Amino acid sequence: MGASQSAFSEQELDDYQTLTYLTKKEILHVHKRFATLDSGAVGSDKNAKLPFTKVKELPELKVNPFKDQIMKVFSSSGDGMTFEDFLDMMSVFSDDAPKAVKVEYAFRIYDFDGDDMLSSADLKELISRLTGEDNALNEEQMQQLIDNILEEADLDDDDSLSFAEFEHVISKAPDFVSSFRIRL
Amino acid sequence: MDESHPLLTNTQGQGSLRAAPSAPDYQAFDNQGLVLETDLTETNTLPSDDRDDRGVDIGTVPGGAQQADISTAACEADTVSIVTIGEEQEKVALGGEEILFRLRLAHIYGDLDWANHLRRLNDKSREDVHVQILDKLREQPISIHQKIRLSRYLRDRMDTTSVSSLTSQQARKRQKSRRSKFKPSVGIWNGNIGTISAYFGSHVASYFVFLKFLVYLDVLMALLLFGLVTLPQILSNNNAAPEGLSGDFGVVSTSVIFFGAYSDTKWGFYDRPLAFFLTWAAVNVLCFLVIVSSMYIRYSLSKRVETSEDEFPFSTTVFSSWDHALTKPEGAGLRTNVIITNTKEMVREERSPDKSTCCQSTGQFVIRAVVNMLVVAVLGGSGYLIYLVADTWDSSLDIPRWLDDLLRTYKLPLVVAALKMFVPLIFDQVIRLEGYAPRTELKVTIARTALFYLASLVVFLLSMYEVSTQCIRDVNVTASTATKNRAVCCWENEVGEEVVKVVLIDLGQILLTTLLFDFLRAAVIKCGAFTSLGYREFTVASEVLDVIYGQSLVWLGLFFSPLLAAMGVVKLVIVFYFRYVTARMCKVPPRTFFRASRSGNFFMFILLINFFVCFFTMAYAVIELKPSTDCGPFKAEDHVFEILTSRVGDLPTWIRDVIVYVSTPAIVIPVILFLLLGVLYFKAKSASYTRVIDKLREQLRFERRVEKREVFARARIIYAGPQVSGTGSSPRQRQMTTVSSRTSITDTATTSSLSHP
Repeated sequence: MGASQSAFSEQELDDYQTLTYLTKKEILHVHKRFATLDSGAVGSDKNAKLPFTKVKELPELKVNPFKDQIMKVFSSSGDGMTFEDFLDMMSVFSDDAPKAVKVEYAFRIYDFDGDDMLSSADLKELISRLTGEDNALNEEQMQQLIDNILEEADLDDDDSLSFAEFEHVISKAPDFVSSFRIRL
Repeated sequence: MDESHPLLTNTQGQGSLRAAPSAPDYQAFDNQGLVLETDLTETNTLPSDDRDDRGVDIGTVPGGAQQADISTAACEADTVSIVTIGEEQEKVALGGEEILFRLRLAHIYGDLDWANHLRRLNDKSREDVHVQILDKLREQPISIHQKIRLSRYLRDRMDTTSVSSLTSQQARKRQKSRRSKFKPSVGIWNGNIGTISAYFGSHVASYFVFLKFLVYLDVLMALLLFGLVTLPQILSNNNAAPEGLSGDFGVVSTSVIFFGAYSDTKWGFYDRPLAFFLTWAAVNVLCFLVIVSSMYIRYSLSKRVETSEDEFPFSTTVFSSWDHALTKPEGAGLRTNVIITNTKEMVREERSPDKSTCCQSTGQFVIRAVVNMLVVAVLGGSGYLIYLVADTWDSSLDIPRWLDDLLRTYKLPLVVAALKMFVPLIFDQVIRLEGYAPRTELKVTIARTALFYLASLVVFLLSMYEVSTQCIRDVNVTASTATKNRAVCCWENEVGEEVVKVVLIDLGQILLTTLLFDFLRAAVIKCGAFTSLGYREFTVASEVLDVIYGQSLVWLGLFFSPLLAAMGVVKLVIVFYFRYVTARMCKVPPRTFFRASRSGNFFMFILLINFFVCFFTMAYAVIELKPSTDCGPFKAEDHVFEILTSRVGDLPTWIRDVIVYVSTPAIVIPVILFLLLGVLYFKAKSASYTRVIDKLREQLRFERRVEKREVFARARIIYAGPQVSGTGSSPRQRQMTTVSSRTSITDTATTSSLSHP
C-alpha cells in the first residue's frame, strides 16, 4: 500500500477522489490490483497501458461474457487500458455510482456495433453472450425474445432501442443496480 | 477516441445526417456535424489553437487525416439541410449544459474542443458556466483523463474563493450521501459473504447476510440480559435455587442458565426481580423496533425503484440478469444455465398461455381444496402428537434402561425435531399436485412451512406448561395432607430445560442432515458413482425458515433461560460456518430465481410474524400463568407483572381508579369501535389511492406508446426530405445536429400532450 501511495501525488489523489465514486483507500486498492496484472510495466510507468489480453486476466473480468466490450468502452485509446481507464471502470461499477451513470455505461456496453442504438443485431449478440456460446436458444426462440423486447421497449417503431427507450425500461428494473456492480 | 467508429468510415451514409458534410467550408470539426456559425466565416485553416494560451495541450480535434477523410467522403443526400440549419444557429457560445451534453456524446461523434468553446464565453456567464460544469462533472460519462484536464482547466480560471466553496460543497454532499447509506461493509464475515456471492450470486448471499443480522440481534440481547440480570446474580453470590430442585442437566439445572437460580430479593439497591422482568420486556421491545425499522428502511428503498407489476419482464431479464459480481467460472457457468432456463420458460409461457377448460379448472379447484384440508390436518395432527407425547410416555417397549431414560428425557424435543424434518417434505411434495405457477408454488410452500413451525413451537410450549404444572396441582393435593417433604415444583425451570434441549437437538439435526444428505451425496458424486444425481441445490427459502425457527426458539425460551440468547449466538455462528463450507463444497446455486431485491424484506416479514407470535405467547404466559412458588424471582407474586406494583409501590388512588375505570366495558367497547372505524376509513382511502394510481399508470402507458409515437412522427416530418423513413439515425444525433430543433421537439411534445385529455 505504501508503494502505490507514493505513486500518486496528493493533488492527483484528490482529483481522483473528487471525480470518481471511490474513496482514497479504494483508489489505492484499485491501483494495487491493477499493478498485479503486470507489475513490471505499471511499476515503471504509472500511466502504462496494458493490452486487453492482460486486463482480461483480472478475475472479476475473466468470466464476464461482456469483458471485451467493457474494456473497449472504458479504454480511452482503443487498444489497451491505462490505470485511469481501469479506475473509471471500477468507479462506474462501484456501489456509490448513481443509477444514471450505470445506465449510460450499460447502454454503451450493450451497443456492440457502437452506433448509439441497440439494434436487433446488438440484441442478438447480447442474448447469445448471456446464454453462453453454444446455441442454447434456437433461432425461433431468439427471434421471439428479440421481438418481445422490442415490443416492450421500442417506442418509435424503428426496430432498435435508443438511449431514451433503454433508459426508460432499465430504470424500472429493480435488480439493475445490484447486478451492475463489481467489488474489488 | 476509437478510430473505427462507423461515422468516419461510412462513405455511404445510412442517413444523410450521419455522413459528414463534404463542403470544405466547415473547418471546425467539432462533434461531427455540429458547426459553429462563427467558424463558417473563417478561412480554410484548421483551428490551430490546439494549444491554449498557456501552452497546455487541450482537447484534440481529430487531426488532419480525418479532415481528409471527411472531405472526400461523398455525401449523397442533402447536406443542404445541415447547411441551412447551421446558418440558422445563433451566434452564442454554448452554455454549460450544452457543453456537457456534447462531451457525453463525444465517444461517438468525435472530440469536443471545449477550450475553444469555453473561451467564447463572455465574462459575465463564464463563472456560472464554470461552476455549472464543475458541479456536474463527476456524473458525466466521460473518461477520467478528460475530466481531470477539464477540471484543472476550469479551476485555474476560476477565482479561488468560488473554487474552494465549490469543493467544500461537494465534499459535504459526498459525506452526507456516504453517511445516509449505512454501509454494511463494517462487520464480521464480509470476506465470506463476498466469496459466496462470487460463487453463487447475490441471492444466496442474502441468506448469509440475514444470518449476520440475526447474530447481531442475538448478541445485543445476550449482552443486555447478561449485564443486567445474570451478572448481578453471579456477583451477589447467593444461589437462590431451592434445594431439592433437580433437572435433566444435573448441576447445570440449578445454575444461572435457568430461571430457578434467580433470587427474588434485592441486592443492595439493585432490585433483581424487577430487573429481570423489565430487562426481558425491554429486550423484546428492542427486537421489535430493530426488525420493524430494518423492514421499513428496506421497504422504502425498494418502493422507490419498483413498480408493483412486472412491466417489462423480457427487457429486465435480458438487460439486468447478468450478475457482474460473479467471479468464478463455476458460478458463471451456472448463472448462464439459470438464465437459459429462465428465458426459455418465459418464451414458452408467452407463446402458449394457460388455456384451461372449465372442467380442468374445477378439477384443479377441488384438488387445491383437498390439499389445503390435508395441510390443516397435518398441522392439527402434529400439534396433537406433540401434546400427547408431552403428556404420556409409554415405556412398555423392551429397551435397555439407559435408552429408556434418554428417550424419556428427550422425548419431546425428539418428536418436535422429527416433525420438523418430515412435515416440510410432505408440503414440498404435495404442492406439486396443485399446479400453481413456480413463484406462487414457492410462496405457498414457504407460508405453510412457516405456519407449521410456529404452530409446533407454540403447542410445544403450552404443552410443556401443562405438563409441568402437574406438579403444582399434585402439590396442592398433597399439601392438604401436610407432608413436609414435597417435591420442589419449578415449572419454569422445566420449560427452560426443554427449550434448551430443543435448541441443542435442532443444532444436532442440522449438522446431521447436512452431513448425511449433502456431504455424502457430494462424496458419492465425486467418486464417480451416480453422477446423474447432481449436487443438491442451495434452497435459500428453506434454509432461512430453519434459521427463523431457531430464532423463535430463542425468543420463546428467553424468559425461562436468560442465557439462551448467548446460546443462540453460538448456534448461529456454528451454522454459518457449517453452511458456508457445505455450500462451497457440495452445493449448487438454486435453479429458480427469487428476486433478490424482494427476498430480503420477505424474510424480515416472516421473522416479524414469528416474533409477534412468540411475544404474544410469552405475554400470555407472563400475565395469566402463576409463577411457581418455590423458585425464581417471582415466587412471592401471584402474577408476574405484579412485580411492578409490589415493588414500585402502590399507585396513588386516583391513578388506580382511572385504570380500573378504563378497563371496564363502558370504555373498552367504544374504543374498540372507534379503532375499527379508523381502520375502515384508512382502508377506504388507500383503496381510492390505488384506483388513482392505476389510472395514472394507464395514462403513463398511453403517453409512452401512443403519444411518443406521435411526437417522433412529427419530429420526423420536421426533418422531412429524404429522411421520411427515419431509420438509422439515433434521436440523440438528431438532437445534436440542430440546437434549435430541440425547442421545436419540445414544442410539439407540449402541444400534443395538451391536445390529449
